[in-house]
Amino acid sequence: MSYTENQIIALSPDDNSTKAGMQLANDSHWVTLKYHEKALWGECKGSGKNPYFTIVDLQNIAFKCSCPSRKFPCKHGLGLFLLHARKPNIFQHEFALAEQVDTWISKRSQKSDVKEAKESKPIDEKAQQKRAEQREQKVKAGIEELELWMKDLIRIGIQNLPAQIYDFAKNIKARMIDAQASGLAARIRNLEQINYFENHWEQKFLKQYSKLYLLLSAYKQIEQMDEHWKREIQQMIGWNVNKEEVLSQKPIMDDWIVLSVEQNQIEQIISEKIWMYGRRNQIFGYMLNFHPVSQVSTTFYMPNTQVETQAFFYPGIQNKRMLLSESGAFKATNFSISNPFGIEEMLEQYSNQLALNPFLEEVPFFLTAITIAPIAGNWYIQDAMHQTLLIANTSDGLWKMKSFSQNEPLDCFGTFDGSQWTIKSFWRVNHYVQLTNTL
Amino acid sequence: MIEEIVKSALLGTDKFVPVLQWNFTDLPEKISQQKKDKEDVFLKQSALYFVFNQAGILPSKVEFPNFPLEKVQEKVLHSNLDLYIQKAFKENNKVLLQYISQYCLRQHQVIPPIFIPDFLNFLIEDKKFRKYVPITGTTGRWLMQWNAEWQSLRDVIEEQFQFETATFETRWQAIKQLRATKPQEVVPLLETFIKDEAADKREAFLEILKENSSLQEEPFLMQFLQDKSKKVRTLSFHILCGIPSGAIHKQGAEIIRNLVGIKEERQLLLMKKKVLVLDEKVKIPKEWLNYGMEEVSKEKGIHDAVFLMGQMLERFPLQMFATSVQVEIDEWLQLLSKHPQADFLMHYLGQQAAFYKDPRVLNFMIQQHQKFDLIQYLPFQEALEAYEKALQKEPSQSQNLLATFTDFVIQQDFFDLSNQTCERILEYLNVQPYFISATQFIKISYYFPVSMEHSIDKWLLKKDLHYQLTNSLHQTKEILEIKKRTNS
Repeated sequence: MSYTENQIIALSPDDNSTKAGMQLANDSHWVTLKYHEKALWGECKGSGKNPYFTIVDLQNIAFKCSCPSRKFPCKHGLGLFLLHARKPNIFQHEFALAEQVDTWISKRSQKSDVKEAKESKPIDEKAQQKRAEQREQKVKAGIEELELWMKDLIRIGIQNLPAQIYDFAKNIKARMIDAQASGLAARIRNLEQINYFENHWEQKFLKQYSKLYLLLSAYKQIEQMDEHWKREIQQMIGWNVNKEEVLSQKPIMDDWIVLSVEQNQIEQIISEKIWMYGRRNQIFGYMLNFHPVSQVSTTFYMPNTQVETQAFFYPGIQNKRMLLSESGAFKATNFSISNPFGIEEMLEQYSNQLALNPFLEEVPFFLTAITIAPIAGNWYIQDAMHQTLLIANTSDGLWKMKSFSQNEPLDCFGTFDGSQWTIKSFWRVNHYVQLTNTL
Repeated sequence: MIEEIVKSALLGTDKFVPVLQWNFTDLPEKISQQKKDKEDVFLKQSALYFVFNQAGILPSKVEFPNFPLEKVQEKVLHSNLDLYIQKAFKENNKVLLQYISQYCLRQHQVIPPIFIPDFLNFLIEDKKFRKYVPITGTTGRWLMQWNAEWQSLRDVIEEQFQFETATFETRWQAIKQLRATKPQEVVPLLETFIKDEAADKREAFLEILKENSSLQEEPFLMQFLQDKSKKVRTLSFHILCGIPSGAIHKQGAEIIRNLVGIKEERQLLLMKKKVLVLDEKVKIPKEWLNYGMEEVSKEKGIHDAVFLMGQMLERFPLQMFATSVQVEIDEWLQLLSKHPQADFLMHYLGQQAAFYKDPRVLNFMIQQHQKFDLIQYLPFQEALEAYEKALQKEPSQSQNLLATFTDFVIQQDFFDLSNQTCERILEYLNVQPYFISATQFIKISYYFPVSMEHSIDKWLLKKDLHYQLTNSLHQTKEILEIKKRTNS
């Protein structure tokens, strides 16, 4: 598969790395340049005596370099990859991987085997049971406290909240983290991030606040629920589902298209959400990866690529979170949305999904033959039947989308949260563009 | 219902508990029957309201304006530059943006649609780039209808703007252009508004009249001799000095005739040589002191008459001096060169050359006195040749020649320097990498032809290359890559 420069640059950890990588995408810096279907490798002149040895795994995008940089990928990895995208002919085609390259690629595939071997070690069930009970107690105590706090606030009223936005929930949020209820802490964080100076802030606040209360009430009755609801509520509170449990779910084999990749920073953690679409089964799913700000992601997903592999969905109700099996190489895709889908249909499906799980937040859909426009300070999306919805995206990206459209209808992928549509990516005449925070 | 819910939330359930009417579900009743506190009931009923509201959301009916887009027929810049354009916007790299813009304008191409909004925002911020508005093409004009902030750019395309409300830069450019095409219309236009401008702007507008001023413009300029600002008085006086048959010009001619003469001096018993002599008794009219001239010399060792000569040289065309002593300009310049205070007087001659741009004076100063800073006043091709010739000097003897040359080049629209000139630049920088700043070198790299790529590779292989030059050359290679892509 050949990658475009834009796809490669999207892997860069920051602007400085992009700039440095682009400068190194120049044959004058490289002593050797080799290409094999599975990898690229080369030696780059550095400030030291010996050149740096750099490898790019082309099948499951990954980088390795002997330079001392802590960035990942480093500028040499980016430079090598970009140089190949620009001038593939200057790379010497090798029929066999160099020993160093072969060793590294093999080790990477062995790592997952070792991981699984580690995980199958015998577990001390008593200790595990004790830890689970302790956690249960902590969470219960946290929930009691949160419930009391929420009722106190609603009893006295929220009209003074705009004056207290910086610290009204600081303590209770910290308390939820102590109670190991990170899901609740995240919801409190979302309350803090509401814009309390725009119109109808009270409704936005109440919507999230009342649903949070409903979640607490649901948790108190968790033992009366079926297994799916139990897992759903537990995950919303903050329980993690371990990998074995996810991998024990029924797998869904499909051609999975990467629709969008977006990164967000929450305090010292970077979260990466990769939305995907199973072409044959026509289902959406997303993967969620986390890493500390000081480290880098070791997995790279390129939008508008696809992989044939198994997906395992997390247990719950309408849970779209999934894991992919590690087999399968990504390749270019010529995906386009074949069936027309409008706003009315989308809202109906949304209602149906909400009826099954009222806690749903971001629900993914395609919309076809749409146009967008700015009207009185807001942006709207309109389908072929002239139905419209408010768009949540910032105007910078939307102006680019409008310009790109050349006044022709587009197809897009996005999510609906019950009031606004967020565009993640769009197509025009098979040309794909991602509209998340990188554009 | 929502109003009641919001009211209760704002005031608090202690002060107000809403009575909500639900016609379509019995769930609220079931909630009430749980017999929990009022806060519990309120929050659960609110959650119920929002869930039902979400589930029943209907699409809105918002009328979209109809701004049709004509079929786009322009050629779009090749997509192999997309990454660089993206990078240029991110880094606010104006040089690269200017290069791409100029290329598109010359080739009648437009930038890719996805970059048009960024480019329009850039044009709003930096007015110097507004001449590149056409490269946004049909799509750009269409987008301007959608966004009020970009609508002012339509004036640039349509070449219509309200002069009275346009910015200073826009008006200045318009008048400069008018001076080139219809010079006789400039003064009537200036008369309508110049007196209401601040002093610095009055000066800037009057500067435009420096070139090709005529006797018809004399009355207009004369009124500025009474201006409150000394700079404006000085400038208008200077322009009047150059208007043939004008009052100031005639006065100046009289003073020059009295001030400057030629004497023949015996040399080595048999030979005679001509020398310039100055009459120390000549004075300027008192009112000229209001126009930036001075009576008494401020320079140590320079007599008042020489000081006066310098000031006159600076302001009046050289032909007047030559005519006053009935010699040709070339001979007069040679005589001036031999004057005991020639060094002092050459400074003023240089100022005159920069003002009047007389090629004879400019070439004299450049070739005989190495005043390379005057090369920029020659017509472009002559200036380029003069610089290239000057660059043949040894770098150690050239002072700031490379810096002056670089400044000259980077002010021009992009063109390709000769390989020979580029090599010479690199040779200079190899001697002293800080002849020009790294930023200036990046800018001038855009004027390197693509054919320099191989030469730069050879330079990069040199063992003794200064690290600063090495870094800069790598960036130059990237720039040449960009140039190759634009031309592919």
